[in-house]
Amino acid sequence: MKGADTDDVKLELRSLRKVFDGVEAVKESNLILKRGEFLSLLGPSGCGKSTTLAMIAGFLEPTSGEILIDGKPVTHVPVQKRRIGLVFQDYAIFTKMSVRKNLLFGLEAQKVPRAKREKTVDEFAEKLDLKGLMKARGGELNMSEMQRVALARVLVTKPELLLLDEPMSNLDAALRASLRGELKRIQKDLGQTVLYVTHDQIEAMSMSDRIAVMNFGENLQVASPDDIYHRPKNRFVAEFIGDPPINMISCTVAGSGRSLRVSTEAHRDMPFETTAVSPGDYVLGIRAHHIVAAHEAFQGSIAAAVKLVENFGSEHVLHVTYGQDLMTVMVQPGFAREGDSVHVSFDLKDAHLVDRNSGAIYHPDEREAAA
Amino acid sequence: MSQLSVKSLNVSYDDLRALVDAEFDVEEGEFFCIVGPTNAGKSTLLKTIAGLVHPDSGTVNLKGRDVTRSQPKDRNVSLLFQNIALFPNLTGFENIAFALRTAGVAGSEIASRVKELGEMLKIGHVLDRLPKTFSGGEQQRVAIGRAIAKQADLLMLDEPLTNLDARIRTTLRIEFKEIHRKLGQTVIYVTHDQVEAMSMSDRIAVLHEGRLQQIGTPDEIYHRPANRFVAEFIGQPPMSFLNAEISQINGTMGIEIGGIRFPMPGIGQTQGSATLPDKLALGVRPEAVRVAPAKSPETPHQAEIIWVEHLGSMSVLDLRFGHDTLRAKVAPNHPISAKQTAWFGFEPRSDHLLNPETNMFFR
Amino acid sequence: MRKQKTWQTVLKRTAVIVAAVFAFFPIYWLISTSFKPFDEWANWPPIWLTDNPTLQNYRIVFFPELAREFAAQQEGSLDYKVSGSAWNAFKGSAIVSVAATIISVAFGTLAAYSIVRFKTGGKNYPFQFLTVRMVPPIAVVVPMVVLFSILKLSDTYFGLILAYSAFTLPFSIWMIRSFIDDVPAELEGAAMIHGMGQFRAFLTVTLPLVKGGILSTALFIFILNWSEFLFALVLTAGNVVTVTLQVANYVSASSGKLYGVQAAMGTISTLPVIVFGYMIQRHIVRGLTFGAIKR
Repeated sequence: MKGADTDDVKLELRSLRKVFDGVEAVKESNLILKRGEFLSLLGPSGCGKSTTLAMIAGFLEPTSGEILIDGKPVTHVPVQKRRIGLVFQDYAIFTKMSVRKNLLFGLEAQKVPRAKREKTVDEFAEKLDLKGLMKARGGELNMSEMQRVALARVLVTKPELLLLDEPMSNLDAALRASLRGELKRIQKDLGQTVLYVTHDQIEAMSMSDRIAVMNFGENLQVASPDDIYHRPKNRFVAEFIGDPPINMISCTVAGSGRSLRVSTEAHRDMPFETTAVSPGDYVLGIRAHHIVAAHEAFQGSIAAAVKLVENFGSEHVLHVTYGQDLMTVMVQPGFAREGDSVHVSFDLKDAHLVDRNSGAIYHPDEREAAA
Repeated sequence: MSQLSVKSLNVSYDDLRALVDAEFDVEEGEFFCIVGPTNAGKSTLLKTIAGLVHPDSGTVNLKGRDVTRSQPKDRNVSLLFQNIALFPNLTGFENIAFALRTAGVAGSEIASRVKELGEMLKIGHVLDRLPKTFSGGEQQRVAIGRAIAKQADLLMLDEPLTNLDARIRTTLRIEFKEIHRKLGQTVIYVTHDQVEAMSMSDRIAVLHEGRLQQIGTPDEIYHRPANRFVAEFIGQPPMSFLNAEISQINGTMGIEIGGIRFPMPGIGQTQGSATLPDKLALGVRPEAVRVAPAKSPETPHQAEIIWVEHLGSMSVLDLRFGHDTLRAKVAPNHPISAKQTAWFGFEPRSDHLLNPETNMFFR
Repeated sequence: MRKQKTWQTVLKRTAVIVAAVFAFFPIYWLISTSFKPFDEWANWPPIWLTDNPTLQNYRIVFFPELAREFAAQQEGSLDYKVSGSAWNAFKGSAIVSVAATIISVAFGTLAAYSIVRFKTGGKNYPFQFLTVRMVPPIAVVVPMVVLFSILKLSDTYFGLILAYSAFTLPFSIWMIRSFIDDVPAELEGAAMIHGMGQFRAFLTVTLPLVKGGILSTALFIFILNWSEFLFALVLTAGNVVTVTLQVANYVSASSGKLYGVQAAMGTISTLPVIVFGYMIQRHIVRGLTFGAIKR
């Protein structure tokens, strides 16, 4: 991030690397987290996100590289001295203790004087709406209360950085949705810098200021949710983000220079402007909600048979045949049934040109070469 | 005759009533989803149908036969557990072949069946290895293979996708539908994810704290939820509930929410014989709300946007007016994306009026 | 910082060595004494390692008749009648220990299964019978003797086996219970759904997985039985002899306890336990269930 104000940088990873038994779990990670930012490490199981978190927290020693908090290297500083707050999966609050004792815990461990302890606990109980629950036992709380207690417990120690390791992955979907909003609100109100690890792209998309998409130990793209969604850098990122997953349709590219012609099974010679790429076989990535569908043929459309209809309540997703490929199309409920025939088309400006081999993506109208 | 018929089923553990008066039918070949939050009693229901748990009262009928007191092995049902439970000391092949071997099927037939399943589920390459070497997805598929190897009268899947990454879940969801089509088996699929339930099932049963809330097709459940729980549980983002009052001006009926009056002419007639109380709640689905940066005929009311969530294919806005908060679902490139004043509009539906005391809809 | 670490390490290492010495000393003394000649058995200061190793003690263990000759060699001793025979003792111990172990483990497994899967006896049942076991055997010795006499079980193999089984059963149940608990009920459930009855599912699915645990429990119980002395002493009268009793038999009126012979008997007695332990150690394998059960 060139030109970023270095005073603003809370966490910096420099060439952070971790090798287990000859396997590179984390490859040369360079990451910057600004003060007050909510950054998610997003990726499938085994991508290295939890390993990265463990190194930042201090549970794991990096094979090489540096970790800096507020500009100071902490790579060899023991866990308890790093002033980092950690929230685990399932929140892990002390079920037999009262909420008050839970909140006092960290401060007692840090040997903060009593008067100051009580005052800080009261302050955060107020902020996180826990005042009425102070006497309740940890085991009696509902999930939302548990999340707030877990957060309060760690926030009272005023950590430089808050790390969360998939805290919601064991909760049911409806609960996750409401807890997400609460967590984000608390983070924004307090201006707490947060690093959040998850495999759920909805969580990452909805809460983060920026997302680092990881796979096989590498940071594939670090950008705002908007950028990641609309301008993914490569195939993996494009396919990982978005529900339903992005359509990938085979196509061929002809032409030279920057004005190319893209042909798919169904459409021929669609004009496409992008960085110069060599002609050949490519893949076109297009999101289900960018596809236009109608019952009758229209300009530029082709017929597609509906193979499957997924009912999502407020919208339906049709799985239709598009030449040799299967394509998902988002439509209004009741638009079509299995076995029907519909007419689909799309605008190339919503599509991404994907290199078959490297997975690199070229966006329409790109001035600079894709990284 | 239904494939499965459950009547007045009651199950309790110690003092906890896990299932209360459960009653439903599943037709042959149906893909039936049971959906509900954690600890709603879903797993207990499956285990009772399978015969691993004994009910306090009630009956379970399979294809007309009363199996309430039968042993699991005599019921001809298949159950895929939430924690998979592959036999750790048997290879993938032997795991899948288990039911067939126990039934005494000939070795050659077993071999061909397992091979067929291996191809269909794309796990041919792990058949001769032990479960501890499998990846999460592979374990899942082998477990599915084991569950469908012997064509049972009823296939039950207990949250099969819950422990997998979000990405794999989406792809396996489609595969499940495909497998169901090919095999034509009767399937009961249990999940806490209402998206899965909605997108995959022929009919859904919503379970909450041991009681069945509603049974119906996805459309029925979505558009005509029976009560507040169902309405809030199904649909993402959840339905908003606004405090409403009946108002009558110049003879036309309507409701008033947060100081804004919405005409609703049919209000007296569609609620049957129940007299409407003065204080009600109105449920509004987020996609029914229109939002614009400026006042217009479609968006005549003003509100403050207090929260925005961008989810890629859509954005969710929380609108505040009066004392109520209304959620709206808008397209991703919607002009409003930051906290500001906005203008909204929606058509209140008379079949989404809720009694706040009973949390039941008036229909 | 560094210096403190070395000091800590030295302290830790010393503690370990001290503990090791405590643990191994009796074994060392036992073996060392078994090779000592008569006049070195009970010397003070103690003779740590004899310069005159002899097999005399072992000979007396195996060939009690030799005791007479032995006596003749000593000055001023009158009788060296060593009662009982080591062979008899080994036979007795073998029968009793093996039988009692098998009974205890077999019933223990069944009881443990019942407690784990069917919650027999309620939540606190396991604690209850563990508490019962806390009763020191010596407290029940007198009633046991009376009971055995009434039931005509005194000095019988059957009687001693019964006593050992009863006393080790709580241990068996307690230990095996935790192994069975580690195996999720869903595994048996899966087997049952795919065609097996409950018991067959237990035998086919769960038992192989707890095999290691059961064997280690068996080893533990076997050691308890093999080294038991009190019940063997009061519940037998010469017909049934165990190795522990036999060791106590090596006393004479004039020379007191024949330490060397006792040591020899003791050394030999540990051999079966070591052999048994070695035989089953490769079956005590951890982690059979890893990877098959998803969290």
